[in-house]
Formats: sequence, C-alpha cells, structure tokens
Amino acid sequence: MSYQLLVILSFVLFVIGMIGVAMRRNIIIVLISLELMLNAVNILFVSASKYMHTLDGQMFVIMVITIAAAETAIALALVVKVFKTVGMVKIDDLKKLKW
Amino acid sequence: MISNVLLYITAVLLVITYLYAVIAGNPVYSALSMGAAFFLTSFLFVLLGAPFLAAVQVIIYVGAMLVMFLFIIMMFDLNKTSTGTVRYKPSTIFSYFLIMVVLLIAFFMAKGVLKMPEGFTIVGFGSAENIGFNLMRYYLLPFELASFILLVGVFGAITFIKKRDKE
Amino acid sequence: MELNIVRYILIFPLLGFLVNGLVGKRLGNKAVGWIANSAVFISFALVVYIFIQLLSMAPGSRLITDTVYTWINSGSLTIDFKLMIDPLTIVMLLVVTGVGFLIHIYSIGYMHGDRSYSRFFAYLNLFMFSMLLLVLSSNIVLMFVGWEGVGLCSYLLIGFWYEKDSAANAGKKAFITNRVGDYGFLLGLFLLASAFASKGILTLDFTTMAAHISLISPQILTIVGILLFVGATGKSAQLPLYVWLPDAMEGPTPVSALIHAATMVTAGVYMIARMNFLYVLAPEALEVVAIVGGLTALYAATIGLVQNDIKRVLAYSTISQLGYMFVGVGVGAFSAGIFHLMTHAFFKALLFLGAGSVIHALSGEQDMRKMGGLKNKIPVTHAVFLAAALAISGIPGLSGFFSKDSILAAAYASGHTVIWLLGFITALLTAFYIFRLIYMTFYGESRLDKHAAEHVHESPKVMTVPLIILAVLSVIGGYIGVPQLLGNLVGWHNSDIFVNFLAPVFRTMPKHEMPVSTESWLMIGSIAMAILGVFFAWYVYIKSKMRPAEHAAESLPGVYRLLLNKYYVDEVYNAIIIKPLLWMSENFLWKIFDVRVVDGTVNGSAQVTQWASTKLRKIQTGDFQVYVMLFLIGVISVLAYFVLR
Repeated sequence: MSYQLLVILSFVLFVIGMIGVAMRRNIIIVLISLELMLNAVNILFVSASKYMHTLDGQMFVIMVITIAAAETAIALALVVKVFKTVGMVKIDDLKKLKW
Repeated sequence: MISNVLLYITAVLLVITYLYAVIAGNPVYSALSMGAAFFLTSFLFVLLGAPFLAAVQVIIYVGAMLVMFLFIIMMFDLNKTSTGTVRYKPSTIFSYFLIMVVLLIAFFMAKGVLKMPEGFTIVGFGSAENIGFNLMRYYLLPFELASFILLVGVFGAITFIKKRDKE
Repeated sequence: MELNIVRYILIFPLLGFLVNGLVGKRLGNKAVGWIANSAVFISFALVVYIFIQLLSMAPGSRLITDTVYTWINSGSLTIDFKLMIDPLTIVMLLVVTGVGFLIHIYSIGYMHGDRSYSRFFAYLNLFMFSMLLLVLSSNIVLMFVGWEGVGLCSYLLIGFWYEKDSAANAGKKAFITNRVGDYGFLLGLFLLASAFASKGILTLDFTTMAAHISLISPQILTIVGILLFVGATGKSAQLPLYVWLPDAMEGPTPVSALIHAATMVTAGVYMIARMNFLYVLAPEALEVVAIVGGLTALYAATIGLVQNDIKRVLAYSTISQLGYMFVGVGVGAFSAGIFHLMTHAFFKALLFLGAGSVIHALSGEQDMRKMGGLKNKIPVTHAVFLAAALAISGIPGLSGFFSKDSILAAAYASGHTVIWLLGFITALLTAFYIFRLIYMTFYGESRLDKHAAEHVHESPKVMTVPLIILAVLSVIGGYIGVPQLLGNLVGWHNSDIFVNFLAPVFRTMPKHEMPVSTESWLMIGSIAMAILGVFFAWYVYIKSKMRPAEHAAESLPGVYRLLLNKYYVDEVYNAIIIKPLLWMSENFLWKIFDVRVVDGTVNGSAQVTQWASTKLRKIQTGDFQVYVMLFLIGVISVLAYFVLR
C-alpha cells in the first residue's frame, strides 16, 4: 500500500469527522466526531513515521493522545454541567454566547 | 502481500465505522462505532510498525475514553432525548466534499507516487523500549508539558463539576 | 590569570540588595544591618585575598581575569561579561570595599530608627554592586552599565527622604545633570566602537583596545577623549556640570560620604586613568582635562569659603579635590591622580562621617553659625575631624600632603605652570575653608540653640570606631607614596611604592625631569600655603572672633554675595536651559503634540475599533457550528494557498 493511499485514508477519515462536528446536533456525537478527527491525524502520523523511518511521528501520537484525553475529560465535564443547568444537550439551545 | 490485503480491508472498515459513528441517531451506537474504529486503528498501527502505540490506543481510547462516553450517556439517559440528527442540508455536505476533493487532487498533482518501504531495517522500530528512549531523551520537555496539560485537564474537569458553596 | 572567585566580589552585594530589598521589612533592622554589612565585608575579604594573590605575582604580569559569560553576541561584535583585576583595579577595589564597609558600619548607628532602614541598606548594597561592576569590568560597555548603575543609586539615595521636596528635587537634579554627561560618554563610546570596527577590531575590551589604539587617528582619539571626559564631568562633578553635587547633600550623610565623596564621584578619574592608553595619544584631550580640573579646583574652593552649611562646605571641597585629581591625570601623572583619589577617599569620607556625627550630636543642625565650642562635648569626633582637616590641608606627614604634592609637582614638571598656580592657590584656600569649618564648629564660644545644647552627645561606638579607623588611614595612608625626594632624605630607596605598583598599568607620558632644588622649593611652597591657610583661619575665626570675615563681607558686598550664591550658576542654568525647556514642553510638546497628535491617535484608534466592532458583532451568532464552519473555510483557504501555489 503506497503512502498516498494512507494519506488519503486519513484525509477521508478526517473529513468524515469534520462533517460530524460541523453538522450533528447532539453534543455527545459532536465530541465523538472530534475524537475521530484526532484519531485520523494519528493514522497520518504513524504512516509518516513508517514512511520516513523515524520515530518522531509516533512521539507526536503520544502527545496527541495526551491532549485528546485531557480534552475529553474537560469536554465531558462541560456536557455534564450544561445538562444540569439547561437540561438539554442540543446545540441549537446553546446560543447564549452571542452579542 | 498479506499485510497489504489486511491494510486495505482495515481501511475500508475504518471508513465504514467512521461514517456510522457520525451518522448514527443514537449516541450509544455512535460511541460503540467509535470504539470499533479505535480497535481498527490499533490494528492499522500494528501493521504500520507501531506495536506500542497500538497498545496505548486500545488502553486509552477504548479502555478509558469510550467507557467515559458511554458512562455519561447512560448516566443522563442521553440516548432517549430526541435531538434530531443532521443540521444542514445535503447540499452543504456536498460542498464540503467538493472542497476536499479539490484539495486532494491538488495534493496528488503536486507529488508523484510515494512507495511505502517494505520490511524494516531498524530492529524494534516502534517498540516500547525505543519509544521510551526517545521520549526521555529528545522529547523530555514536550513529555513534561504533556503531563502538565493532563494535570490542568484534571483540575479543569473538577472545577467544572464541583458545586459552588454559595448555590 | 583566570580566577573564578572574582565574580563573588560582585555577587554578595547583589545578594544583599535582593534580600534586603525584597524581604528586608520583615527581617527586622538588626538582621538587615547584619546582612548588608556582611555582604560588603565578604567582598572586602575577597578583595584582600586577591590583593595578596596579585602581590605574589611578578610586577609586570599582575592581571587576573574572570569571564562569567558572553554578554552580547550581535553579528560579529562580541562583548563578554568579563571581570578584570590589575593594580589600578585593586586600588579602587580596596578603597571601594574598605571605605564602603566602614561607612556601612557607621550607617547602622546613623540610620538607627529610620523608617526605611531596610530600603537604605538595600540601596547601599546595590550601589556597592554597581560601583564594583564599574571598577571590575574589563570592557567599556560593561563599565558603562556600572556607570549608569551608580548614577541610579545616587539618585535613589539622594532622594532617600523623598517626603522632603528639596531631597526629591536634588535627586532629580543629580540624575538629569548626570544624563547630560552620560550623553557625552555614550557618544564617545559609539565613536570609539565605530572607529575600532572600521579597523576590524570588534571588541571593546580594555586590553585589546590598548593593544590596537595606535591604529586610530589622533583626531578621533582627541574627540573621543573629550566626549568621555564630558561623561566624567557629569559623574565627577566638574565644571560645568558640578551643580548637582552640593544639592546632593540632601541625602543621608553616610551616602554623602560613600557616594558623593569617596567612591562614585571618583569614577570619572578612574575612567580616565583606565583609558590612559587613549589619553596618552590624545594630548589635547588631556590638556582639556587638566584645565577643567584646575579651574574647578579653584572655583569650588572659593565658593567653599563662604558657605555656612557644614555639609555644603564639604561638598564644594569634594568638587575642588576632584579637580585636583583631574589635574593629576590631566598632566599625565595618572598614578598621582589615583593616589589622591585614594587618600581623598579616606579623609573626605572621614570628614563627611565626622560632620554626620556632629549633625547627629546636634539633633540635625547643619548650620555652622549655630555651632561652636563642641570640642570638649564630642571629643572623639573632634579628634578625628582634626586629623582629616590636617590631611586635606596638606600638612606634612599626613596623607593629603603626599598626594597633593605629587600632583602639583607633576603639574609643574610637565610645564603646566598656570594650572600649577591654580592648584597652588587652591591649596591655600583649602586649608583656610577647612579650618574655618573646624573653628566655627568645634572652637570659640557656643552658639547652639538651647534645645540642641541640652542634647549634645557623643555618637555611639558603632559610629566612632569607623571614624577612628578612617582617621588612622588618613594619617598614615600617604606613606605608601612618599616622593622619592623625601625618601632620599632618610635613605629609603623606591619610597614611592604606590607609583611603582601602578606603573605597569599606565602608559608613560614623556618624562619631565625637574631639578631637585625646584622640587624642594615647590614642596616648601605648598607647605607654607597650607600653614598660611590654617593661620589665616585661626586669625579670622578665633583671634578676632570672625570680625574680619564680617568686615570683608561688608566691604566687598558684591564679591561676598557672588560667592555666597555660588556665582549664580544655578540661576543662569535655570534661565538659559530649564526655562526654555519648560516653555517648549508646555506650549509645544504638551499642548500641541501630546494633546493633538498622541491623544488624537489613541482616541482615533479607539473610535475606529468601536465602529468596526458594532458592525462586526453581527457575525457572532452564538452558534458554534457556524464558527466551526468559518474556521474550516479559513484553514482550507490557507491550505489551498500552499498547495495550489
């Protein structure tokens, strides 16, 4: 399998995740899509790591996983908080953040 | 050759699980599909010479994150609340895809075909030992920073959830 | 020789400053005093240790360096944070740390009970650090850092009692006057740097500069020399930038002693001695130095004759003595200038501290017209004061005699007869005004206020012990530099230890030999002048109970008032510089430039931002997925630019 195909694969996966973030209404699914986007990036990193024969890409994956874990923890905490205050997890209802 | 076939199969399955995770109406299905995608990614990592990362992938993403998602969904019964599925018209999705396709084409116009190297010249490439060596040697500062970010994440999550005394 | 302990001379005062400055308030006064004093004492001990090391080396190769790190590395220019100790440096170091340490001890007693005790010692330690940096630096740029640092500390310490308007103003005056001088110094520095750079020498190290100085044309060297001297006139209070020093007496007396008598004001002399390799090749610049020094010596001495504030007399005396030092270096007798710097540090610090002790005894009274008859009430202070006064007058056998005489001899020998004459007259005036001070303060009948008279008391031990040590130094300090003429009388070869010690540092000017008889006559002449001055002072202020002074003041009212008002220099500066500046600042810079241009720009940009914000806030729908989409479009545009480019 050529490097390009792996790049395309991660690209496609990334776009799918992006569409999820941009279009779903359920905040949980938005978060899931976010994780999927990060995962797509990880695939790219690992492929590049193999292609270039250095471990640097894999190092970055470790960093990405760390960030992803921290981000998920905070995001889910926010979801809990939002659910407790608004009673909803629909994104349409969270429009208070405007002028 | 076999690993190539396996790679193709995994790639196709990955796209399918990704799509289902994004499209599914029920958050539980979505989360489970995400778990499947993570497993497949882990398998991909093994094929691409990153056994340690494969293990980490399963432990953290599937073992921790997926469980966390499911826990939240179950706790608040989020799968019962009707939230609708998709926000935008198909035309919007189509325009997104169009942009991506344009970019991809541009990408391939720019570069020729890049062959993946066959077989490994480095012994133990991607093993826990090598990764650890690199992490402690060349990536010590990022490593420490990452740990600090995790700490901040913990504090952040606690502060959000904690009940204020005045309320 | 590379010796890494040199840096610790600097570090301890800095540590003292940090500790006292940051947590001094909480430590309590006792701890603050201990910290500040021990910091300076450790530096002093290190200096003594290095001095011994230096003495054990061969006379020609006495050089200790310590490269701490590369400070500036810009293009091809490299400037190290490098410290250097040679005989000249070690003399300055011993004076600065030694006298500085004694003054630190004295300050414990003098500042006792002050509200800002810890702040005082923090500043004092910072001053020590800056001064040591100035002295130790091995290149002129680092020296400038110390140069500015001591200026800052001087400002902080003059305005130490900033609640008093006069103190705050005096601090500002000192700082601004110094800035004028520093401007000249900077110009000289830049000119020197560019001159060296054009010859391919991209460092400003003293040793490197000294080795390659002959590459640069004498015209440039003369200009550089004069510009650097402008800096020295500011820092060392010479004509025409001396005006800040008398006002600087608003600071606490230990500060006057340390900064404005013993160490900081001599920085200019040190700088010229350090740059001797340059000045030797720029005789015109040296001529300027000597002339300015001679004029300042006489000029300040005449003002000193009629001042009534005890500290102001000493301030003008300091200016006058600094003039002597510049005469010394100006006629090429660098070691004589430095020798006078050292003895002057002893006796002038002693005079100031003694004056502080008098002021302390009289609960803050500084006007000599309200003193008198203190001899028996504060005997220790009187004794040490007398020793210092004899030293500064040039009475034979005390330190001031040797150093002053060697300067005058050098001036005469090098053919600067007029400058010698100025110094010669100044010697008379010096003896007169300093004994006028003694007689008005310690002798005659008491003219004290009732209130003050009841509280007269000798200062505590912590103040008198440093005084006594300084008195001993003032008396015997001169014997390390006995002129060969006198050495021969008692069969002491190489009696001029000091000059021989410093000789390797200085480039020699063309030597002027003087017949022994001339030198003897000069010496006898200056002794006669000193004794005559003392006698006049005695005659006027004791024998005739000041009547001649009053008579003179009445019969020559114009001269008297001119002197009393310090030649109206402050008024002249006020009229020709300060007033026009203020006028321009108010009418142009403030009312037109600041109000219209600066405020207009600021308000205008604020209004533009506000207008744009009201328009743009419509984009903020509150829907995060719209934001995501916009964000993606942005990212894709950037990507597209790089990919499709």
